[in-house]
Amino acid sequence: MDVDREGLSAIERALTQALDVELSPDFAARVRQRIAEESTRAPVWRAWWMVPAAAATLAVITVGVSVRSTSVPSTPRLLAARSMTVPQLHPGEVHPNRLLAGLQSPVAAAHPRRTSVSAASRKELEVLVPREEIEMYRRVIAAAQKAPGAVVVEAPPVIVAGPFISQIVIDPIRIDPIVPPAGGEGERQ
Amino acid sequence: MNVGAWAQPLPIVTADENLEREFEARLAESSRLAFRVAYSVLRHREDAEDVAQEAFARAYRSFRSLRDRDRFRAWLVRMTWRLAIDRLRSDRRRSAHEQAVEAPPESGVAPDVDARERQAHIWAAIDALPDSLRVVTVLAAIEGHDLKEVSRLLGVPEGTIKWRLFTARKRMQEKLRWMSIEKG
Repeated sequence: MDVDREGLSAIERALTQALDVELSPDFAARVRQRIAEESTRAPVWRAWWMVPAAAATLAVITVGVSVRSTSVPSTPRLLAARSMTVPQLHPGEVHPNRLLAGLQSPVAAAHPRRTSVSAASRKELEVLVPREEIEMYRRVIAAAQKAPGAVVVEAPPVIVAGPFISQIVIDPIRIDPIVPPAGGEGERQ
Repeated sequence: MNVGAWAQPLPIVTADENLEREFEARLAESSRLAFRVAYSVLRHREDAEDVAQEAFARAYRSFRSLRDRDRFRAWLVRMTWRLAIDRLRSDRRRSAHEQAVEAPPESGVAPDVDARERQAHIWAAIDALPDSLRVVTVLAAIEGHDLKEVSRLLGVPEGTIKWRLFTARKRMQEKLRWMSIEKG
């Protein structure tokens, strides 16, 4: 047991002696120098790190924008072109030429500016009314104009000048109370 | 009450200056510990200093979270140990130094051949230990650390440290029995 203890202490002493190594006197100075060097190198490191990151971000944004510009217009623009508003035409102002113009290019008749935008972005306008149908209307109108004794009915101005909704006066509804007949509740059925 | 003293402008000490001061204090009191931990793995003076410097540089970067003394020393020991092990594994040139024992220059009288041989055997016995036992043995031999201090440095319960130290010593004793016989 004593031999064991002595052996252990001998090992410990030898180990302590083996680890009894002193630092260089300028160790602390070199640590400070290293820290200073690292702090000056830090911006370069950051710049090196940020350049690929910025490039990757730019690439992602570019791809996203290009994908969106190719895929998005198909539905919304067509919907925008289809959702044309029909101009309020009074019966007296209806003219065959205007009707034809409207049939040939309804978007142009309703929204000239929108047509120019869509024409710039797309070379060919979308066909909203079949050409055969347009031709049919043209033939019908031409035949009506050429027909002898054709009567053109002018709409009376009264129809055109209708009152606004705010101008319509509605009389208050009056409900007369039901008065039971004199002499009781009436006959039961 | 001395009103005049209140009127004196106080020296302005910024938070960064305080941090610098604290780091300087930690550097002064823990540099030897870090170096010896690194030396116990590498047994090469310049390499050990380089690893210890690297550990301090890393400690400086995250010193805001390591201001507590115990926390700093524990972090430093673990970081130094890990860096030293990494250096040992990656640097193939160190293979020649692994078995060679470098004489400590500041130890005064140059060690004789027997002492060198003894140290070589001790290092061989330490190297034969698994990592968990080796670090405990080394820390216990540095600066007279007791079980409590080693336990704090490694963040391991004291009982575990005691068991590891006991096991390590037993194994070393088996390997170095001839030394005790010689001594006996």
